[in-house]
Amino acid sequence: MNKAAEQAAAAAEDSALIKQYRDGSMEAFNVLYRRHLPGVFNRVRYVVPAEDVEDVTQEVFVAAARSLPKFRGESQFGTWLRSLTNHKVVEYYRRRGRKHESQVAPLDEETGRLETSEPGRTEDRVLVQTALQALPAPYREILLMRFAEDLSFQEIAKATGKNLEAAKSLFRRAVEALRNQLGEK
Amino acid sequence: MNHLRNPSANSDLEDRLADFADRARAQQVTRAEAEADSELRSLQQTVIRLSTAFPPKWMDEAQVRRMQARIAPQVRQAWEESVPKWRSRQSRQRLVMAFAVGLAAIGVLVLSPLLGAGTSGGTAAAITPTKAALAASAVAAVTLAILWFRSKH
Repeated sequence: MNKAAEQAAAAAEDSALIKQYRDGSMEAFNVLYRRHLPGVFNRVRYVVPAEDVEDVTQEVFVAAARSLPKFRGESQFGTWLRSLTNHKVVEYYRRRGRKHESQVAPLDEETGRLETSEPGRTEDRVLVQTALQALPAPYREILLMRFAEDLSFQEIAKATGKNLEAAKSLFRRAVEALRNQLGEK
Repeated sequence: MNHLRNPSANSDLEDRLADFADRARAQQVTRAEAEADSELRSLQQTVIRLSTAFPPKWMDEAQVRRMQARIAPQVRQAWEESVPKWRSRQSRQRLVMAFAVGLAAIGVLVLSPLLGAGTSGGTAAAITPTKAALAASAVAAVTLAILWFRSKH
């Protein structure tokens, strides 16, 4: 079975599981949870501080459990879950408030860029995280799809409704924007 | 600086950057390529920085189980709060049964004068094939209605 066929089969299985969950099968939700947990967890890991990754991930799935009975299936479950994850991340940062954010990643007053003087890996992770959060949504999205969700460029093109060349072009612009945010050039 | 490149050079850069990102994600490269042009090399460095800051992480089974156990009661509660009562399996089964009984009752009410007229004469033979067919049709209609209802939900 090729990858497109696998994806179609997975989407069909998701739909069947959602239907079972609506009928009250918690086991069906468990299967959905295990299937999509790594993708959501990794996506959250890229944009939320390590200590809160699990909590935000769980919030995504609780929100999914609450909303699934009304899920109409107009988009694939994976796409819907991606939007829900983004929404929960925004909510998370709204809760934390700007004060806390500025403590996590101070900006250089002169350039407005992130301070990046010889950071260690953890510090660098925070800097990269904050830079990702500061990117326009389409740029952040393609970087997360490629790195956090490990989607191939072909899969990204399909998910975003672009052709392969357009997806690669968007990726290049996203990397440029990230480079600028990080003050690398 | 990409606006200074011609489209084919841009396309080549994008292909090479995408290919580099694939290899960085697979941890096959850990630094920008020396032979790359300065713009590509600079972008490769950003890709490396991103992939180094977040090396691929696979969740272990213990973590998945722990998270799953923690979320289970919340999922149950979320389902109970969000699913309308009539959508629950038990409620729906009761609804189907009530629907079937209702239809059967209507069928009996509709058919009883006909059947009653036949039996009032005191002979079982008064139930004509037409009446029997009507009764069978009513039962069939109820059965079909139940099957239709189940298939829709």
